Formats: sequence, C-alpha cells, structure tokens
Amino acid sequence: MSSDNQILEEFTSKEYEHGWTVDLESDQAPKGLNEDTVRFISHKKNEPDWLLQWRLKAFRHWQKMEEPNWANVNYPAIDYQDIIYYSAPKPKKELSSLDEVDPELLATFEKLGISLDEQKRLSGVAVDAVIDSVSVATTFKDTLGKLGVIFCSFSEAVKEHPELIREYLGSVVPMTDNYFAALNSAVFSDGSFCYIPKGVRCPMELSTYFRINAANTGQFERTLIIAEEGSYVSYLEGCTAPMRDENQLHAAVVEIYVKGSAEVKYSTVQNWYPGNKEGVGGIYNFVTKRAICAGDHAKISWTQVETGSSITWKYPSCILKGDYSIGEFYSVAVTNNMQQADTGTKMIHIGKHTRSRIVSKGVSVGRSQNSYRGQVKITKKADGARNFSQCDSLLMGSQCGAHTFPYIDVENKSAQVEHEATTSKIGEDQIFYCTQRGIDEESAVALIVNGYCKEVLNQLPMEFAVEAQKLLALTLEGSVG
Amino acid sequence: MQATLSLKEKIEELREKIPEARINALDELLHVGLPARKHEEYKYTPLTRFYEEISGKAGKTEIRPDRYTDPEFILKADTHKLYIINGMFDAETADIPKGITVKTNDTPGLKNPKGHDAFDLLNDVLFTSGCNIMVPANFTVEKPLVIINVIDKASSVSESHISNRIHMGQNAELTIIEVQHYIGENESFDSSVSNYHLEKDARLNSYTVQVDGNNNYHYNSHHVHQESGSVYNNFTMTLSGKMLRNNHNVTLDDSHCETNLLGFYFADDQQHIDNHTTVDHRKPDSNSNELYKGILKGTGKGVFNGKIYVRPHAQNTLAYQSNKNILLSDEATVHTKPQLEIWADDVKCSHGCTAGQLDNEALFYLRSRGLSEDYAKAYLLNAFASEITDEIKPAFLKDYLSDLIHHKLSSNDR
Repeated sequence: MSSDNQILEEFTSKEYEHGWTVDLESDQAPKGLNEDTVRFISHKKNEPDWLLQWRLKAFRHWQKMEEPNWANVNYPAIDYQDIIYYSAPKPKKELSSLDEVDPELLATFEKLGISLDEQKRLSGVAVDAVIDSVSVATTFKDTLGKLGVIFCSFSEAVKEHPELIREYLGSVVPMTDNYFAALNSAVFSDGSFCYIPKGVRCPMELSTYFRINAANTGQFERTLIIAEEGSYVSYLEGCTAPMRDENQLHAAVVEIYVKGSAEVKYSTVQNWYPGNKEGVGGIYNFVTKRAICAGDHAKISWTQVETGSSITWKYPSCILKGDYSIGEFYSVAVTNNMQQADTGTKMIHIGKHTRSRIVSKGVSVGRSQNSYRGQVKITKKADGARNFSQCDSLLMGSQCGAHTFPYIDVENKSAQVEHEATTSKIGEDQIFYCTQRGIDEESAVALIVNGYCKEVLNQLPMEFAVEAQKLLALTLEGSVG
Repeated sequence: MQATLSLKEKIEELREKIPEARINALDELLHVGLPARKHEEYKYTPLTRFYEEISGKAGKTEIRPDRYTDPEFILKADTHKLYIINGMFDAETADIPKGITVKTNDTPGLKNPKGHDAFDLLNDVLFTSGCNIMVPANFTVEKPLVIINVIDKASSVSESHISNRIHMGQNAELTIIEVQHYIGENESFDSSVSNYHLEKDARLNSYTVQVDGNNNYHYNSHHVHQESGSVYNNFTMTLSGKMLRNNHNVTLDDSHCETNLLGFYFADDQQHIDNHTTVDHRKPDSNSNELYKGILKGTGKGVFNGKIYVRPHAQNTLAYQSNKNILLSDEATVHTKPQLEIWADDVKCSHGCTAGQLDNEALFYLRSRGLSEDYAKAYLLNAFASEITDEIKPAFLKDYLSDLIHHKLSSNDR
C-alpha cells in the first residue's frame, strides 16, 4: 500500500474528532421540544403568524404520531427531548490558513480533487471574501435575477415571497405525511427556496455551494423548488467532501413542484459522517423527498449517491399526476463498516401515459446492511403507464447484507411494469483480469464498482460525476483483503 | 368490529376445554391477534368481511357420503386415494400404497408457536385430524397418492381444519396430489396446514390443486424442511374459490438441496388469490427456482409475495424467482412484492416480476394470419399458462388442468 493510501487508511479508520465546535452562546432554545420551542423558533426568525400556526399544527399532529419502525434499520431510541432545536448560526472557529487544518482531512480533499478555495471553505479557513465565493455568488445572483429565478434561503423567501411559500409549502409533502416530516414542519430551521419562472431555462446548475448563507442550515432543513410551466433547472445538493456535523438526527424535507412541460433534475451526493468502525456515532439521515409532476409532460429526475451517514432512510418519490409526465430515479448507495441504508423510491402513476424508470445500485461492504425499498403504483386511471425498475446489489465480504423490498401495485390493465433485481459479488475472474494487467486489487475493485455504478453516475452533472467516482473509490478503501 | 370478536369469542370459549397441547398455540394466537390490514403480511388481503360474515357462522355440518363423488379427473386415473371429509381423515376407505404407513394425524402442538402466521396458530388450535404419511428409506411409491380434502357445505356454512404430515425417509420418493373438493354452494371456511420433512436425498413432488368450489375461504400453508441432497417440487394451481391464501415456506437446512416452486393462478370476478412463499437458504450450495404466473380478470385480485432468504454462510447459493401477471380488465388488480434478503456474498440471486396486458404485436401477428381476436387472445393466454402446465408430470393431471385453463380462458368475454 502506498503512503498516500496509508494516510487515508488511518484517516478513514480513525475516530471522529470534533475538529471544530460551535460556541453556543445566547441565541439558543433550551433543550427539549414543546409548543414554546416551536414559538421560540418562529419568533427568532420573525415569521408571520400563519407560518407559526402552521408549525404548531404540525407539532400537535406530530405529538399524536408514533415513531415508525418498519424500516430495515436498527438504532437506539431517539430522545426527542434531548435535542436542541434551535441555535442561531454562529461563525465557526476560523483558522487562519490551511496549515492549521488536519493534514489527513487535506489528504482526503486532495484525493477528491477539490479546489484549494473550496478546501478552505469546507475546513473553516477564513477566505478572502472579495475574490472568493462571495463574488462568485454575487455574479451568479445577478445572472439569475435577470431571468427572474429566485434562489435564496428559506427564511429569506418567507420574508420576500410569502405568497409563494404560503401556496406551495406542504403542497407536496403535507405536514401530516409522516413522523419525521411532521417533526420537520414544526421545527425546521432553514433551507433553500428556488423558483423558476415560466419558460426559463436556468443557465447554470444551482448548488447550495453558491449560496453562502446556506452553510450550517442545521438538522431540520427544508427545501422547496417550484418550476413553472416549461422551465428547467438542475439542482445540486450536498457535496462530495466529508461533512462533519455534530447533529446526529437529520430530518430534512425536500418538496418539488413541477408544472406542465417543466423539468427538474435533482442530484444529491451525501457523504456525512458514517460513525466509526464499530458503528458508534454517525448521522441518522431520515429525509422525506418528494416531487409532483402536476402538469402534463412534466419531468422529474432524482439522482443520488449515498456514501455517508450511519443510517440512511429515505425514498425520493415522484407523483406523476400530469399526463405524459416522467419520473426517474437513479441511485447508488454504498455502505461500509456498520452503516445501514434503507433507501429507494416511490413512483405513483396517476396521469395517463406516464413513464417511470428506476435504477438502483447497492454496494454493501464490511458488516453493513443495504436495503432497496421501492413502490411502483399504477392507479386505475393511469392508462398506458410504463415502468421499468432495476435494482442490483453487490456484496463485498461475507458479513454484509443486501435486501430488496419492491412493492408493485397495478390497477390498470394497460400498464406495463417490469422489475428485475440481481445480487452477486465481484467476480474473481474480473479481479484476476485486472491484476493480471498490473492493476492492484484495490484499484481493480474501485474500477469494477465504478463500472457497475456507471449507469447512475452518468446522470450526475459533469463535475459532480468526477468527484463521485473518486468518492466511491474512497468509501471502498480497505474493503479488499 | 363485532365479527372479529365473534371469531375471537369462539376461540376464547375454547380455552376452557381444549387439551394442554393446544394451549400454547392459542395463547400465542390471542397474543398476536387476527391479522388486519395493518399487518404487513396481510396488507392486500382484506379480511374484515370474512371475520364479520363468515367465520362466526361457520360450523360443523353433517356428512352425507351419498352426496359425494370423486372429481372426474381422479375417477379415471390410476392412483392411490386418501379422503379427509369435513376435517376427519377416513382411515377405512383409505387406499394406502404397500410399503408406506399412513395414520390419522391427531397430535397438535407446534414446537414453537412464535413467529407463525395467525392462521397457522388457529389451525393448530382447531384442527380435527389429517393424515400422517411415512415413507421408509430407499422406497419409491410408483403411483401418485391423491389426498382429497372434501368440504361438504351443501346444507349449511361449514368449517374444516386439517393438518397433514409427511415424513420422507432417506432416498425415498413420493408424488402427492392434494385436491380441494367442495360440495354445495354455501360459504365455507377451511384451513389446511401441511408439514413435510425430507431426509437426505429424498424426493417429494407435490401438487396443490385448488380448482373447485365457490364461496369458499381457504387458508393453505406448507412448511417444508429439507435435508442434504433432497429435492422438493411443488406446483400450486389456483383457479377457483372466493378468497384463498397460500403460504409456502421451504427451509433448505442443508447443502445440495433443490427446491422448485411453480404456481399458476387465475382470478375472475370477486376472487382474491394470495400466494406468499418463503425460501430460506440456511446452508451453502443449494439451489432454488420459483416461477409464479397469474391472470387477473373482471374484478379479480392477485397478491404475490415471494421471499428469498440467504443466511450468513449460505455461500454458493443459486436462487431465482419470477412472478408474471397479465391483467385482462381495468378492475383487476395485482400486488406483487418479490423480496430478497441476503447475508452471504458468494451467491447468485435474482428476481423479476412483470405486470401488463397481452402484447399487441403478438396479437396483431396472429390476427394478420386470420385468427379471430378472441381466438388469438385465448391462444396467447394459453401459451402464457403452458410454461407452467407443461411442467406437470402425471399425464392425467396435466391434461385435465390444461383443458380446464383452456376452457376458462376461452369462455365468454374478455
């Protein structure tokens, strides 16, 4: 193993260090959750009364709900009274130069090919605001502004565009939808808001990276994207760099409202702290993501690369209501060590001639458990609906598990639904072929896994795709032998 | 819910008088409760009406042998026959093949009631008898053994609960045909639980024939335990009945076992057919194959849930599963859930399922060659079914079932 790899090996196997801590001062809600907490959050954010009422309604509903336990994941019970639900974003302890940053973290950045400036931003080094991201962000804001595209933080949108928020908030994921969505509705701290006007094709990929005030939006994030008729946007969430966040429970909600002939492409790369090798610590990523194709000929495409979090439990879904609308779901979920993932999608066909496609690639390594759970539902009126699903699992090591739970419900005779799934391991002949040609075993595994995931990675925007490939290799580090 | 109570009350009344051996199952049943919609295993099988209207009414009916005649296809066939009539195994008329033992099975008592389907537990509490078949080592039964489960419901709503056991000695071979036979048009509730044990290298071919009766609510459950080198083949054919639930659980508890599960179901108006299968690979080097096909017509509803488990260390497992459905009407529904749970890495497992209508191009091809639309459709549907029926070994059964399906598919409108 080369020295580079050794460093990485140490890095990936070492305990999580709180390299930085947020100094919590005054603007913090007391621990615990009750109506006052909800009022406190709403008050702190200067929200209008209707939003407070909406939050309270969600909270009251949440109190009546039971925590779901049907997922194929195990975790100790969460004490919802032991969480601080609001603390005003405080600047992190800033370092003056990259030299002060954990060299191993830098090595990881290096391996992922992250630019120097971004490295600084991610590791909390003070950056020159004029030449760096702020200026970049401002330029982008100008371009977007001219087109009428709104891209801002959720709280900003509540102030500036209350009519839009009021109309669309909870229209795709109602506050009563599920336990974690209700919790999020009650206590969400901030998030992103994106509005694409009629007929506008957003000229650039919108990424939370460019929205500097999006940093540290916390554990209860809320994203709302509205695409008016005939518009197009590609939205990037997350980042390939390791995100070390001290919040254990993340219950975000993402809502996407797509009108006729509009198209939204939503890509996620998630690489949160997965816990140590024994499964201690790590993020619980319990997210509700849903899009509705409300108009005819609308299209929504979800692409996700999930490598982080100790538990990933989410199902980005598509409600295909408009005739001829299209839903797509492309997913790579890699679990290593003690990680658990229960992820997949729901395709609800309501409109006529709606089409959906599911490609899910799971890779289980170490002692991890990886589940695909998906539903394809063809309702009575969905004449001529078409679905194709493919769920493949790759197992590496004899102690991991791969599980598939597809639900297929067909109520219309003209529908055509196909599902196929395979489970296997990397062929010894494939490894042999590579090693015979001088590629070491570890690189061979990375190469084969990348090939296996290619169908999904190809869906990612260019720069993300390159990083995601490296990220996969990094996640698989140490899985051979 | 008045009715759940009524079945429950019935069960609770039993508590005072049932023998010790059945207490465990009863307690477990009372503990888990009767399945309702929120139970994952009964998600698509609504039982409310059954609890409310059927289960309470059902009781024992008089048995009148004069009402009984064999189903025609068995009359002519050269087989051994065993009768179970309204829950009682008829030892007197039993035609037992030489060399094997068949006794009345009246010993209840699940070893461990935990984790069983509620209806398995109910059967263990209520079953009246059944047959206990033992095939000695190295013995092959030449002719098929037909077990006819007669439910006489001509004079009133009837109820029957039976439990059969088969023990296959080393290297023994047997073919059984289980036939559900209903007399009369009343409603009925019957359950049948079978436990099969296959010792080393034994071969058991079993055919489950559910092609008879209307208005019947039938629960059928098979628990198969396989030892090294054994082969278990099952063929389940479901064409009639109001609401049917089949649970087929196979445990491959040793190496080099082979399991083949084939199924065909056809649900017409008001029919509900639910097949749940579990294939549990516990040891390395075993193979399993599963293919279930269904046609849903009118307001017919089909449910399929196939589980494949590959336990840790069950390396070199090969497991295939497939479920294909054709919907002939807009009121027909199918819910399918092919499920894989795998904890071993050196395995090849795959599953697939499809739901759709007949291929328009294939239809066009046939019509362009002068076949009428009805004929072309029937032709294609028969071809769809024949992938299953072609695998039936006993010729008389194959002919009978193929004809029956052909008749069902060709009759009236589509």
